Amino acid sequence: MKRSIVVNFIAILQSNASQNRASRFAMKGLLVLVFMALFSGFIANEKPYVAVIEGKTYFPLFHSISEGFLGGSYPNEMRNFDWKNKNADFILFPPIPYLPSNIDLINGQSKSPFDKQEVRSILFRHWLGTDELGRDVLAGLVHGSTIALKVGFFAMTIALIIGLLFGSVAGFFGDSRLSISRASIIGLLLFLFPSLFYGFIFRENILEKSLADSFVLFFLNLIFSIFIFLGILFIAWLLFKPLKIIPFFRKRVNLPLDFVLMRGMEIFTSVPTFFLLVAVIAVAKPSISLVILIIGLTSWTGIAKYTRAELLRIRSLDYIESAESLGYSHLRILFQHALPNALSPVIVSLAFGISNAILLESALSFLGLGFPADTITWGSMLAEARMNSSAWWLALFPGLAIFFTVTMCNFLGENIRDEIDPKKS
Amino acid sequence: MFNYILRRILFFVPALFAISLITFFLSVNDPGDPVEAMLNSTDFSGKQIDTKIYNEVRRDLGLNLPIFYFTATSQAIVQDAFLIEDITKRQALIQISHESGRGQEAFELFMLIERLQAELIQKRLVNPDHEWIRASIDVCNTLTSNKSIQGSLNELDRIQKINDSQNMSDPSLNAFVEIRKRFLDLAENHSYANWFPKIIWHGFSNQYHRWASRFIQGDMGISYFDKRPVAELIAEAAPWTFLISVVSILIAFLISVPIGVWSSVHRGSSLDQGVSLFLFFLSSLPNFWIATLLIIFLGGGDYLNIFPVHGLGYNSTGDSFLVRFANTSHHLILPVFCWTYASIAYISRQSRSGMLSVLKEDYMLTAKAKGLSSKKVLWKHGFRNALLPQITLLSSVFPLLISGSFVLEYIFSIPGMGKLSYDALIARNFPVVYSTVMMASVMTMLGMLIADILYVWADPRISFNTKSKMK
Repeated sequence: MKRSIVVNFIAILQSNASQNRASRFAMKGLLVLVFMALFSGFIANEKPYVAVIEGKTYFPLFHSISEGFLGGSYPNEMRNFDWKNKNADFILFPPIPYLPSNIDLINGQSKSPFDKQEVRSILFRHWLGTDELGRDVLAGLVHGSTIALKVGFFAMTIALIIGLLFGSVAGFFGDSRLSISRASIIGLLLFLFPSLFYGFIFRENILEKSLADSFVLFFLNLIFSIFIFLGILFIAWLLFKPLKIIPFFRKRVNLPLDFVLMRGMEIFTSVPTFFLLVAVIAVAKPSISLVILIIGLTSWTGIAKYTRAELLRIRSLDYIESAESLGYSHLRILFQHALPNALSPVIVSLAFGISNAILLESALSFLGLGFPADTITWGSMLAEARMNSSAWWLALFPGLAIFFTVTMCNFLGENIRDEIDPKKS
Repeated sequence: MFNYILRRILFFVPALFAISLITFFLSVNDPGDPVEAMLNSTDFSGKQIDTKIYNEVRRDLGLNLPIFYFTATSQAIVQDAFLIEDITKRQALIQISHESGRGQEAFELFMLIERLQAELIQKRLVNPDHEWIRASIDVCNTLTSNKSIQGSLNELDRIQKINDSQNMSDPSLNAFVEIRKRFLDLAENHSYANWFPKIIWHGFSNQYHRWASRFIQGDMGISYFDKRPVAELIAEAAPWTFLISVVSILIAFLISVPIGVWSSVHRGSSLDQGVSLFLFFLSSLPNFWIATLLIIFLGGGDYLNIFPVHGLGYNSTGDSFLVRFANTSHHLILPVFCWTYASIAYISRQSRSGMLSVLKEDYMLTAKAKGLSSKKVLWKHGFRNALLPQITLLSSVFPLLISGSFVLEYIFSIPGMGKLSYDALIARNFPVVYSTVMMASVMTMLGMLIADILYVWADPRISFNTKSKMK
């Protein structure tokens, strides 16, 4: 099941890309961006790749990065070395020898890219200028791309999972296909309050404490609570199964799944999403996971709508009928046969969703919300530009980066949409 | 049709209820203290706020009431716990009852500590400089605010050490010993009462009901920050947002629809391709970036200084309408531009694709074959049918009329609804937040409803039955 969905996605992207020169360009642009985001630590960093001092060879950059993963055996005195001012026999820095947080007060007070800069050699020049504290703009762009793409990608993954789930269930089962016996209804209703209690209220303190500590921990606790909630309901369902002996309780009742989910989606779209974002972010502890989660949770309605529309169309097709007559279970038909064919409009929605998520993230960091205070992102650089209205380079380059990324994603989305549009002339 | 509209409007009620619940619960979990915010906003001298005044303001704001109609907790927690006024103490008691499972004993312990604290405060009035008394009062405070039994035990150990080192002998000492014994008892003898659920019904005197009943009657409360009625703040801010939105929507439609029609007629020409590409780029520009760039290059600063950047300009009351109009428009040019350009790009592309699909239809060919001038064919027959998607577009901007754009109003310091909501969110000014969220939600739902109604009205082939099936 999973493999066919992924294969479908890639096939659509590839088939589109080869036909249209412009969209191939957009894909290449995005690939460059992804590369830059993945390897930002190697492209812009203050530690050199390799340094030879007094005959001994060191690899500071690789050491510090692998330390992050494996724990290090780094000679302690090398830890906070100022590599730039060392007299080395041979030293090789990354192309952009600054971290975005490196304060360089000699070149502070916002040097423009065209000003004279006091640096040791042309390798150390701030090619796109600096901000008030001397932080390099180019390094900020590179590291900002990591955050932007992370947010865009993971937020849309969350939105995709939720949207596909709800949309496909609503579209496939509609109002009249999913039925449940009266016995199960009684069981579920009776055990609803206990399951809520043991899942959430009983664990209230644990949830509150983990929310204050770390967002990931809170999320895991939340998943566990949901698990307990569903588990107790499952036990209730099993317990009440024997009741089906009595004909009254065996009678099946239709669950209006479509109606409920559509109303839920309407409520979700009625809440002003930016509002919800700002409200939650103002209350909870700022971290990138929070931003990702919130953007994901508010973007799923578009995908759900498209999935639902596609499935409404697909479920009356012949192959679904033949699958049903073969005796496959509803779930199998939905996820193995129906859903993979419903994905084309979803990919379009995904492309626009990623660009929207990146825009939202930069708007949020522009307003100063959602990220810990020193995080340098494209939006935060724009906010600095606003304070410092003569530093045009602080506004132009981050904005260009945002514009470039958003345009590439929109372009891909548009092209894929034109490709799969059945009314193409 | 009326049936449908009625059903939709009836759905507003539970939807608004759900939204108000979400907003309410988000705000309740907020760590700030609105009473302090209210008192501190007028009194900057930094002196200790008198407890009586604090409690009075608290009661006025209704913060001493329980939050909702009912509370679902475990058996361990006593009903009286929810009537404790101080929120930290309430939470500490709930936490400790939950941890040990014995709510009644924990409650009595807390009452004991409170009584001890009151005694000590009396003693302090007599003997204000006595260090031991002051330290003990602090300890009592910490004991009732501490969320863990272990923490309280540590506090007690600490004061025991101080006491031993200073060799005090005071009757309150015995009280501390008793308190320590009870804490130990709570820590060691755990009851399983907290495994069983209990619902405590608070009735209608709770914060949510207080807010909801007033809101329905139109009383939106008083802003924590300004102490002015929220309705007044909204009435002042809404016209500006409305003005900017209406002007920009008008300009956007007036410019984009002709462009869309023109480019659909001249489809494929190099000029059309250029215009389409340009419009595509225009729609991808982040509006806050363009706003910042415009401010840097065209506003104040080292470059051209054509447009003012902040606010709406100062007008003296004696100025004539024309002067005020000119002044305000001068300030509004940049914001309206930023608001409009994205809409122009989007709307012209929509109208272009709408016109394209209409131009292919057979009736257009028929009209031309009948001998009508191409202008008549285009505008009288084609354009009206292409209007449909535009109508739905119009309804989607409806909510923006009231809620405005946070980011643009923030950048240009325009005192509209967007800035009002943003400032209120940041400053935790919840009466304003609730009201603006509710208004924005109402406008969104109204917008969706109007879109549906207009859709059916514009195209007689669609009836509400088929429409609801299509949805």
